[in-house]
Amino acid sequence: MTALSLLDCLRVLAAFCFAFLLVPALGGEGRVSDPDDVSSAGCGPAVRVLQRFIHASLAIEVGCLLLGHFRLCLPGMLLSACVLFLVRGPLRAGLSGQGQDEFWPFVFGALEDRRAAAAQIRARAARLYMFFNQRRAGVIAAIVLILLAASLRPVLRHFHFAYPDRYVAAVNLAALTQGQPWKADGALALLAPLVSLTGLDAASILRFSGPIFTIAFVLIVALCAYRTWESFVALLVISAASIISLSVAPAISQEWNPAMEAAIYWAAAAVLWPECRLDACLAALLAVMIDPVEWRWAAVLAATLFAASVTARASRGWLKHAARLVNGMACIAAIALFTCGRAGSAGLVQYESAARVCESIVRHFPRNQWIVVSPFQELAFTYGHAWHVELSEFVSEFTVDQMTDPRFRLPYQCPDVFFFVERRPVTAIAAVGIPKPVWRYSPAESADWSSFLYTDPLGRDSLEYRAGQMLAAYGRHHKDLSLFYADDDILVFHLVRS
Amino acid sequence: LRPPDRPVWAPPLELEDLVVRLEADGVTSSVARSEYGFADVWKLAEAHVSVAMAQAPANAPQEHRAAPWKDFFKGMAFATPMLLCCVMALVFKVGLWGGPLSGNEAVAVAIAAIAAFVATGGFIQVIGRQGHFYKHGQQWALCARSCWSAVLLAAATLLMIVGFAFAANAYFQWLPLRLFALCAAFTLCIAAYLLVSGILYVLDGELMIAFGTLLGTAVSAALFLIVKLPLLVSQIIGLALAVATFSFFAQLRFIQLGSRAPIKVPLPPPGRLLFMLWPYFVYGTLYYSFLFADRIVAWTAHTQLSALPLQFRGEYETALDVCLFAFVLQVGWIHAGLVRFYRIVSDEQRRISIRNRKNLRRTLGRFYARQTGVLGTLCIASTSIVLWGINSLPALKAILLFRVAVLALAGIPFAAAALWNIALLFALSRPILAVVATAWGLAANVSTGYLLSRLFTYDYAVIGFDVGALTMAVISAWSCRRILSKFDYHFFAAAA
Repeated sequence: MTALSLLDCLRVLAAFCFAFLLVPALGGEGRVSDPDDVSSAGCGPAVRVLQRFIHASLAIEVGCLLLGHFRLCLPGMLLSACVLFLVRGPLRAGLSGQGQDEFWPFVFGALEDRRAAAAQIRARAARLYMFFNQRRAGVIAAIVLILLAASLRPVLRHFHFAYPDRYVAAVNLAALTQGQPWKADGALALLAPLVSLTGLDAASILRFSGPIFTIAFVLIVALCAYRTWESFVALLVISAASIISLSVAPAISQEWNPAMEAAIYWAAAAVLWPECRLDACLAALLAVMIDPVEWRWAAVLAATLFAASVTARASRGWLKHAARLVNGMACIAAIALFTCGRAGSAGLVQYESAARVCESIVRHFPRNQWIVVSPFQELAFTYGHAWHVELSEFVSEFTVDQMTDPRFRLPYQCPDVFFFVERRPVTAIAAVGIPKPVWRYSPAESADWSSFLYTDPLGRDSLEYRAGQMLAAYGRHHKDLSLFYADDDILVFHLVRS
Repeated sequence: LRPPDRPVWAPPLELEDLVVRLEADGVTSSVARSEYGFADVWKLAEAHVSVAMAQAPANAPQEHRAAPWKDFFKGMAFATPMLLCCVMALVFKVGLWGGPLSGNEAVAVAIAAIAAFVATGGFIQVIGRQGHFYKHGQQWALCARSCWSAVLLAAATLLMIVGFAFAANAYFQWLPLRLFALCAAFTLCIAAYLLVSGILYVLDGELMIAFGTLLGTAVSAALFLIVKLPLLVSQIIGLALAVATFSFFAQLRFIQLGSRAPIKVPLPPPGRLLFMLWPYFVYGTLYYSFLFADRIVAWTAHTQLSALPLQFRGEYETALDVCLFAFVLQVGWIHAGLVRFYRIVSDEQRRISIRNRKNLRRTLGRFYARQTGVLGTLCIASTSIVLWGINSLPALKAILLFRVAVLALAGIPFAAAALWNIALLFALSRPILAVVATAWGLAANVSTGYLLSRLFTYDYAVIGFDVGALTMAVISAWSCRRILSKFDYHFFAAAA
């Protein structure tokens, strides 16, 4: 399972690099590395990559929000947009007749003069090797790998989410990418291409987005420090601080959330401000679109910008050093805020085994040929793959007497039905952010009956007990129900319909 | 001065004309100097122009002209396998592909058929282009070599495509492995069938195609109905037999025509071939993509509830299949029109002089307008026949979407008109313009169909076909008009 998770993570990483870095780099105008550029303290290519990252992010954000409004944020649309953007450059060159003089001689050479072609390929490979063989490129690659290892560790072990709103976000994202009604959310719109490009479910995208955004954030903050200090050591110090901070911080700090996404664009705004104010404003706009209520990052950004402008203009040595110090402190504060600021109160929303069993069912059973009967959380893992029935609906629709009748058949049309029942009902939900419902008279008289069943410890206990009782009764009088999975926390029953 | 190997010859119009002819025959200034003792080619021409202009012209003997209805039926010959499959399916309920299949198997076969057409479309164009080129020059060894090389290249490409599709399928989990294997096997078989039948078309072997198709269908029907083999297995065996029969006939025909050792004949360098043939290849791929794009768009719309991300919709497919009869009738005329075009050009060439080029343009313009009128009449007639057929057969009407049939019938005349224009563009060696028109048509088809099918119901994808066909017809017609307005120049450039 870990190997498969690692593979899925690589898919998400590849899709992220493709949509946010490769497509804007190949489809954009001009080259990323300009040998004549001596500005930006030698980090011109990195800044240009960041600019294109911001442009791509803004295009994706606005595009997906608009498409989502018309329920058209579908894989076909997003893939076509990527392809169109990629072929934009060659199309322009073709229409204007540029590049023809170089293209055909190259083809003739490659097809008819094998030796020359091999020499040409060898020369290009040597240039590429020289680029990656630089000490700094190697150090940055090592930092990325260490960061990846540090931030991947928790998500490879945990399938479930620590916060209830992630389950809602996963369902919302899945609805967006399947052309279903969704609640507009800037943070999720940015992830829509990853769902389409990877073919993975929305829950996996949320799960693996955390580490990827963490790496992106650390690299941008390190770039910010490098620009201000004009020293590679500053980059190394910030990276090392990030790695230490990530190792010390609780695992849930790397779980995806809108503030994490917004933090990247705040940091990008700080880096881009001295270079291009328009792009910096666009990055800040993106951050606001993603998480409008986050204010702490604005304070960090202000400090960073102040330090950067003082560093650029200060003529006295001590003032410059002070400004650099402020910048360094702002970078450290940003990392601390990023890793520890979000590790608030989290609790058990879903058992890990329940999430893993869902993942396994999704992998092994054919699409739309099965039903999961469970609490809401499992829907985040099954949305778009098959059907889901709320456990509360199952409990309220049928009776134990019906279950004991050997002639009774559950009215589900799919060949396989899975029932998720908690042996020890999850009771920590009320402590992790969802306000406890206030009942006017009694739970039974309240209109919000399902909230009572899922979020109130008493309701959850009664729901799970009732479900277990009904399935046990059904199993005693029918042969088509078997135990699919069992541990100390959950039971998963499997109904095979002939 | 008249070359003995040329049956058609006209005296030069002026000094410049003679210089051009001499240089075209390889008599450059250095040759004129070294072999004929003149200072340059101009001096040589000046010395001989009066003699050359006094020569009598040599006209070509009156060629045998086939009746127009024969050309018309020859134009429809490409539909022979399809018509035979339909007849066999009606009689035995078994075709070379398709038939009474389960939902998922139907999806696999549908994808395989479309993938085979799209993947081989470019290669079939290349086979046709190169094959006819060598055939007209009676270079049978080269013809055989180029045809079989294209088939081998296509086979290698198909294997790569299947490998890539396997990786993509493993990545996106579109089809279960068994279904994918079935799809891949059918794709390879149908592709081989199409490729080798492409060689037989070059060799005018329509009868051999009919025989091979009938044999394959009969064998698959016998295996399914008598031996009780599974239908898909029977069809794969039938397809393999048809391919083997086609290959045998094709090779036999090449040997009869004098090609005994095609392997030893060198083809032009691959870079040059690629440079010459890529527009034809791209056109073939785009054209088949255009024909099937609306099906793919319709079958992938609103599939949230289906077991696979692609759902075969029989009523949509049946409506388009029935409309294909109108298309075949209309396309048959294109071949006849093209034969007529060459005849008119040939006649006009005999009459033309450098001074009355306007007459040539006017004649060609009138010919184009007249042929468009004939096509319009044929479209109305064929559409009426198909509509009448659907309305008079309630059993047929019950299994298709009437709205799709009507909308497809509205788009097919535009597709036929576009093909007519594209045939003219190919005749005048302007394949890039054909590629541009087809690419825009495909883009319009996919984008319109995708949006409409996702916003409304899946059958609106057929409007994409209509819009795409209209786009292709308008762009290709505009290109044609532009070329016909300067026909003399473009014809000379194409001949050069």
